Amino acid sequence: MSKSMKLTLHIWRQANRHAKGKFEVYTPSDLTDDMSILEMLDCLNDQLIADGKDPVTFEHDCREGICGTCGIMINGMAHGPDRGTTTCQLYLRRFKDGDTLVLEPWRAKAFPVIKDLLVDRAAFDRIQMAGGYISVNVGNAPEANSILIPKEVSSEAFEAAVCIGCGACVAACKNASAMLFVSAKVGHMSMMPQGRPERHDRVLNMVAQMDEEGFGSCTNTLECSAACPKEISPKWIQRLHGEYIQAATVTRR
Amino acid sequence: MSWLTRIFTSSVGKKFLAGLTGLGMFLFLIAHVTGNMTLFLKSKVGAEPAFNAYAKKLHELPGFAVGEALVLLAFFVHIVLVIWLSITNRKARGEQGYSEVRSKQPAQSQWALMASKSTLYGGLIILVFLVVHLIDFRMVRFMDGSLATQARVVDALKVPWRAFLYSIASLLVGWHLFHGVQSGFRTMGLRHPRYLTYIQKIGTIAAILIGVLFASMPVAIFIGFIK
Repeated sequence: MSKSMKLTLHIWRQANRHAKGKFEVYTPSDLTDDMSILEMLDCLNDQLIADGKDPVTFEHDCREGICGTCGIMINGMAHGPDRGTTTCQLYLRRFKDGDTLVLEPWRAKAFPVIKDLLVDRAAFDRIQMAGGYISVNVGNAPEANSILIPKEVSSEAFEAAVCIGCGACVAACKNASAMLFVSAKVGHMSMMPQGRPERHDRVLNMVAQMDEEGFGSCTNTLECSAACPKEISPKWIQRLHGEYIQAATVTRR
Repeated sequence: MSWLTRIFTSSVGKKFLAGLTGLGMFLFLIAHVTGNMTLFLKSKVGAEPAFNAYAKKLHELPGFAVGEALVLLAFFVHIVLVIWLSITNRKARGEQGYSEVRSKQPAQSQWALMASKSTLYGGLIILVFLVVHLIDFRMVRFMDGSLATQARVVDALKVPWRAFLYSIASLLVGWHLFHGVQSGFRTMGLRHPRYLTYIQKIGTIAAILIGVLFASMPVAIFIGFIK
């Protein structure tokens, strides 16, 4: 049986990229403890629309924790208080009846607010386009076992490949550094034979794009990894450094 | 772009050099604190206190001037790069800050978290201390070529404000190293969990040892244990 809940919501409202935003307080009715944070916002928006008011804009897609679109700051923590959880997988039963929730967008110079809780994360796309790919010829799918990869290697690469690009690492970092994201993208491909041909160019270009987008740099505070819904280890940042210095000192370009 | 320009201008490159120079100075501090421990020795070399004999031998070492220049260079590069990176980091955070920020790290990591967040400020205070320190003990050699003797060290550190400043700065150096050493090793690309446990332990023990041993000297002089 679901229980009804009362929550006080402080939500960041900002009309557009250039407008000055501020917090608005809402106390939506009809909340129940089996709603997710996103369903709570749906419920609030229904009521705002019925009252002829502007609904709260937020980003969402799969609502099952694998697409990476739904990140918001909840009470000062990226994706809320639980580790290894995305916003859509956080349920109101995690909070107490009568609690106050502060909802804010990711804040970073490279993630400008588009409206309310929605930020522009195109900087991540541009970093990916700078090198987060492998080049293969089109045609039939290649034979799976023509390149042998030890299980331990593919499993470790997978630990980084699970990055969903949600941006929580940037949001939680005191320097708004994107190094956990970039290191995950560089890392898993650097471990696989398919990623080897473009290995040096990839890391040099992706880091250059990351710098150009205006992200900060890592000071090993490790908040990124604690906020990551996929719990990606900071060891990947260490690996990124090794990859970068190696590439920068041996590259022929 | 030349490979050197790339390293000096990219975020990862700057961070790497800051870590490398930091670890270099860590080695210097180990030598510095070990050597200065001769202040505690009661035995004499000829008519001189052990500390004076140590200082004399040290400065007669071949390549001492080169070593000194390297430490100075590491110091300069470390500070310039760290300030440069910090300004970029400040800008990257953007103008609108969060209304509240809470850590999701486990409780046992909170000390490390505090150290990592205060490393910059601690470092800036240490920088101010170093100016005083160099005026106190390095200036004379620059002026007339004479070395800092035990008598001069004792005279200087008997002054209450100096004793206080030197003890606090020593502990701050330890606090700086608590985050700095393991952070430096991480930045060098050392990533295997197998080594990381050792690095964290070695970093913590070294930070406490260096901080406490440095602080022990002004305290011992102030209370009259070292004369």
